[in-house]
Amino acid sequence: MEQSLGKKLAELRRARAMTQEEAAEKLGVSPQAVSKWENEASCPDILLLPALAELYEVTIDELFSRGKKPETLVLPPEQRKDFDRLLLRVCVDSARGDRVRVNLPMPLVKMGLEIGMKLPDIEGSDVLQQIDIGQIVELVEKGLIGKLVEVESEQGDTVEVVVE
Amino acid sequence: MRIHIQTETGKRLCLLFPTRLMLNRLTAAVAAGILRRRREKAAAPDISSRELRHLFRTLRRMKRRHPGLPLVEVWSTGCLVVSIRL
Repeated sequence: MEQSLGKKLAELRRARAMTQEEAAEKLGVSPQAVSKWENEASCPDILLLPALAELYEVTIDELFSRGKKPETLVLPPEQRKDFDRLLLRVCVDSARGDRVRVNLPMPLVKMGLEIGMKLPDIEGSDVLQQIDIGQIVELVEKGLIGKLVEVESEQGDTVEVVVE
Repeated sequence: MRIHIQTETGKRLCLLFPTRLMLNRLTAAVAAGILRRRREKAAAPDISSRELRHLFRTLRRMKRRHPGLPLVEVWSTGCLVVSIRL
């Protein structure tokens, strides 16, 4: 599916749990400018493209590619990111409207597992306790990246686990 | 490390901690002692002082690698309630 530049910028920003204000501050532009780009009312200045690519950790090619990236990939060793730079993102949206976002660097997750720490209980989300984080770390070390878990419970809670 | 808390009544609390103040050998030893005492009363992870020091070293390294990273953000009914940033 084709994806416009504006939608791609919005998706990349949300994937990094950034607000438009934060992205604007890092790029040295106004939040209104970021909003206009994402709503396709205008385009970023060409001189900002390298900064945009660096901020969202993509290449300029990827910004402009028309195809939608597959959600989950297994990367060969030469294409894998340094394990230190990977983040485990857990997004929990409860049916009551509560949202929880957890962003943990992968080394921290691995360290926590080694010393026997478990995922904290989040009230109303039994789904989270059923996720085997140890197995996720193993898979990530073998090159798996992207959306790894997407679950919706009977009560309407949704849980997503993404590694990027 | 920054911790922002907002209550339902709109009151806000913002705590700023120098990382070295929170993540050092002394706090690791104190935390390990507290966990040891809690383990006797209720389920608590069995973590030694040495493991906690290793965890803190990893946290400090991650802070350098991902400055300002929001570790945890919790929203309730559309309002940011708790935010913890490296």
